[in-house]
Amino acid sequence: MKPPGPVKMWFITWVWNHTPTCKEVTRLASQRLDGPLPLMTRLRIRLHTTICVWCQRYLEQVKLVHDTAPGYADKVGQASEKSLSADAKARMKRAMRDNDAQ
Amino acid sequence: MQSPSADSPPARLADPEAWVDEYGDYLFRYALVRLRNESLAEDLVQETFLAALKSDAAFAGRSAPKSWLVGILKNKIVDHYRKASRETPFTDLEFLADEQGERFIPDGLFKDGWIHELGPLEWSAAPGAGLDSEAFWKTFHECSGKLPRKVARVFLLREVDDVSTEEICALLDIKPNHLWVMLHRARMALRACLEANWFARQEGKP
Repeated sequence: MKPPGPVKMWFITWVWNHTPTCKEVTRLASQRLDGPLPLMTRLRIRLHTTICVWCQRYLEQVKLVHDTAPGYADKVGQASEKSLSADAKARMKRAMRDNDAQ
Repeated sequence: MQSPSADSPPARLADPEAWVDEYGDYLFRYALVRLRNESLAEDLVQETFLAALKSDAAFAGRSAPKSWLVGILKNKIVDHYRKASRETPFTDLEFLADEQGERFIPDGLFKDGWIHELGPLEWSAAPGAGLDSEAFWKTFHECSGKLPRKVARVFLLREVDDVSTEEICALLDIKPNHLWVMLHRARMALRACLEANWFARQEGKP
């Protein structure tokens, strides 16, 4: 990648000075998954991504993980081979019987 | 409780012990993936059945027994989280903070910008491809297993079970700020782990 020319550099610096830092963007990237951000904040993030491909990727990727995560319970939890042992099941039934008899 | 009016037999399952055979394994796996501890998962499943038995009359055939039982189990799990978080403070946070903090420029004009070489890589052109595979979920499981336990719990509640942040704060009795920090770090760490162990590895393949 060749270094940016003076005009582009000026633009990058200007945007950098008027938008949140990358570290801040990562924090906001998380926060926006839990509730809507104020319009101005969203615009600043948007502007920041015009000069920062890393934040652009970061925003997309945490969103992707966020959208994928709900499958985890079924894909990992229920797909596992784990099950209650016969012993455990017998114990549970016994406990239920004892409990019911009281 | 054992003297139900004879005119409402469908309200009560003929044999609650049959729940154990029918739903036991499902509930066990449900608890296991959230607790990562077999004997604890087993205990909570048993408690769930006992609690179900007690409120059997309240159930009265309202919904499918499975979702009713899952609802009871969910509460037991959250109760456990709450008790556990009271016993030990959330101290394992720093560990995550610094590991990822190193990816940012420490000073100068572009302080707190990504160090380019350490910034997020481009993931495969078609995100979503292969995310259904067993191998992906195995990686996801391993990555989430690396999170400090308490951070993993709030991550699961928020991202997997879709519990709102307000509710998590109330359930676990933590401050919103604290929760945001935990979620932020969990997401950051998980993203980095998936990148290193899944997306970067995929690229090497034809």
